[in-house]
Amino acid sequence: MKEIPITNSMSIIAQKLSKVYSDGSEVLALNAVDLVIRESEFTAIMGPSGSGKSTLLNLIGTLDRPTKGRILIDGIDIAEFSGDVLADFRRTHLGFIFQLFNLVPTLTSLENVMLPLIPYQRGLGFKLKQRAEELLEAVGLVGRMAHTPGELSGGEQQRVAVARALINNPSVILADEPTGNVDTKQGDEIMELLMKVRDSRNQTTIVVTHSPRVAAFADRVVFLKDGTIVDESDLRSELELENVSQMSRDGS
Amino acid sequence: MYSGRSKVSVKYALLALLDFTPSYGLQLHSLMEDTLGDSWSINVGQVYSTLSRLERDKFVKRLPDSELSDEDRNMYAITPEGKKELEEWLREPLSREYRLRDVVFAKLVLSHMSGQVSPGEVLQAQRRQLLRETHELTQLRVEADSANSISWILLLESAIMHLEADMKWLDLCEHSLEKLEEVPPPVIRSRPRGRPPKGEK
Repeated sequence: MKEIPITNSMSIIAQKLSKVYSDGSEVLALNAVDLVIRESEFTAIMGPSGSGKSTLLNLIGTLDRPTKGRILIDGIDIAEFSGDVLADFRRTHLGFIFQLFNLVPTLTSLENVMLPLIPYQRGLGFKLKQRAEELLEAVGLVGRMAHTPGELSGGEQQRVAVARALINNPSVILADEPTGNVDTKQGDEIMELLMKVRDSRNQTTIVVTHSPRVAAFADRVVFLKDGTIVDESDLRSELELENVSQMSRDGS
Repeated sequence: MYSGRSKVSVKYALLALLDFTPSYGLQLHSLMEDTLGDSWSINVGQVYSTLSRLERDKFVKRLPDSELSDEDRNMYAITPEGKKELEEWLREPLSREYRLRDVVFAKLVLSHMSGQVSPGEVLQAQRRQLLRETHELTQLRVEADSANSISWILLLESAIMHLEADMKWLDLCEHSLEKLEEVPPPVIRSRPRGRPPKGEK
């Protein structure tokens, strides 16, 4: 069985990635997609409904398996992992944020943030409750730790979800329409938060969105249509790009 | 009020229409109304003056069989230089200071007619440009100090929202691309003006 190296950030390479859903008739959700996402990159995946963007995110997030093609995360083909190793990999390396927050309604913010790691508390090497408190503080929810989701606004609930996604110190954050259920202002705050989290922790971040306003926070936008990539844009100015390459040179 | 835009784009509209088919000046005039609508209507004189400038710049040429000096009887065709000029214009995205939707609309219709660049490529180039501008403004807004520069933030927000609206409109255009591509090319209906040549009654 393969060991998964621990790093702060991970590169993701999709090679000829296809996904066919068969539900009576066959639907080609992704069609031989090639994509390279570099370490620490903040990428937005845009496209109309049914273009395959959530499918692509689910495949990268190992929540689903491709029909054809492969995904290399830090150079390792994740198809080589068995179910258990894959679950382990998800828990230790990936952080997920969903449109509908997916918080447990009967638990407090603090408990929701701790939840993914509660079964593994012993071997963690850090105090789970303390880490959860720090994260809630970082997302601006100091006074809301004992509140249940029903007592929070949509934007606050999503910030709890961001804190929860960070509890395992992930190398990759995957967010599917994270601003889809909040208003524009709260959506901006969520994106700003994700941007700042990336800037301070350097993890690779992928956000699926149909909104250009949301995509404009990213470094780079990948456009999908009918299951294929139709275009890619680097949004960073040349000056920013220079800084980024300078940073990566300094870091290596 | 549209004169500025017309000056910029009549040239390219004529190039696109000539790329569609070699035409007489009058035909170009009616083709332009048929394809771009009333808001683009210009007088025939403008068509001829633009054609002569295009000819001077070697973007169009008179076809050899139109030897008569009467300008109504000259048939024009696009040159390779003209095609290149047209293609560059179609591919080049616009910045906010232009009447963006009007000109992008013209580019969509004209790209469909000329075939130098597909309407999808026009949309994508424009979207890329608008996203980049939105990204830059978003960065400025995130960096702005909300306590001290609220007027600056509101100004940035205004620009961002305009860009957003433009991009929504591009989405709508994209949804209609297939229908646009199904639209049959317009019928050339106008005939050259003036007396018929000798021997023809």
